[in-house]
Amino acid sequence: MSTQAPPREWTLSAAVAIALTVTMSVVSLPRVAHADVGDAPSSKSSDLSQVEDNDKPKDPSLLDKKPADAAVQQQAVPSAPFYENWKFWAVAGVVVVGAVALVLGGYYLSHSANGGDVRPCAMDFQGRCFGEGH
Amino acid sequence: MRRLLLALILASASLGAAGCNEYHYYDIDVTFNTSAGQFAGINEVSTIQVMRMLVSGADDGDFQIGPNANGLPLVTGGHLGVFEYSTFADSGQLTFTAMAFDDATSNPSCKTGQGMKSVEATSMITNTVMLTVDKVDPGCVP
Repeated sequence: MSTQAPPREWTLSAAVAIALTVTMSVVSLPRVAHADVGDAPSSKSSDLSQVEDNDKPKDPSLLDKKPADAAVQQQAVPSAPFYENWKFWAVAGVVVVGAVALVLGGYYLSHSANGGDVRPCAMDFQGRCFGEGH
Repeated sequence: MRRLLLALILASASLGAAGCNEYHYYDIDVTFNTSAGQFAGINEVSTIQVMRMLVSGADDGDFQIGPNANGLPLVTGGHLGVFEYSTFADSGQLTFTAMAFDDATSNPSCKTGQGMKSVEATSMITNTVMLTVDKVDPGCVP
């Protein structure tokens, strides 16, 4: 007894299937080639549905700009250099004047606290004053 | 900005802490020794025309008074008075050496008296030092 399958025979259904495939290919190829080439935009309702947002919210507040949007928009605008801002110069001036006053004040305060300038020679010393400051 | 201010305050505070130098005064009260065996009263003390004061230790100094100035020669008693020495030193030891000359120069051969006193330098503004000048050599006046 042979285990090999018997050779297939060309049936009528197979021939019909092949014929249909070849026919459909031949008929559809020219239409695909001409599709959307030089055609005006279609105005069919199906196209409109693509442009329109059918999910557009009905609540207008949802479309209002949020603070974050404003901040992003503000960041996008190029700001002026810091040295053209009068506030910068005002703060810098106060800081510089304060620092100078602080240093000078500290110096004179320390100098005074430490006795200040050399004291003058007493009269009864008859000019016998020597050392630092004399 | 706060850090900058803090840095400035600290810098000025450290400047104040370092500070400028503080004057300290050492008032050296000089007296000639007129006790027995020393200077023979005003007659001998009045021959002293020049005095030289040396400072050593925590500070250095060399200065001279006289002749015919700064209270020399003495006309009465044996108390010359105060030498005031100002210094920035506030620690260590200060040594004051007074030398008396019976000549118009500080010629070493004419040195007749000398006194020395060592004191600890302190942070006090005024320090009083008593110094006695003893007769150490015959000098140039017979």
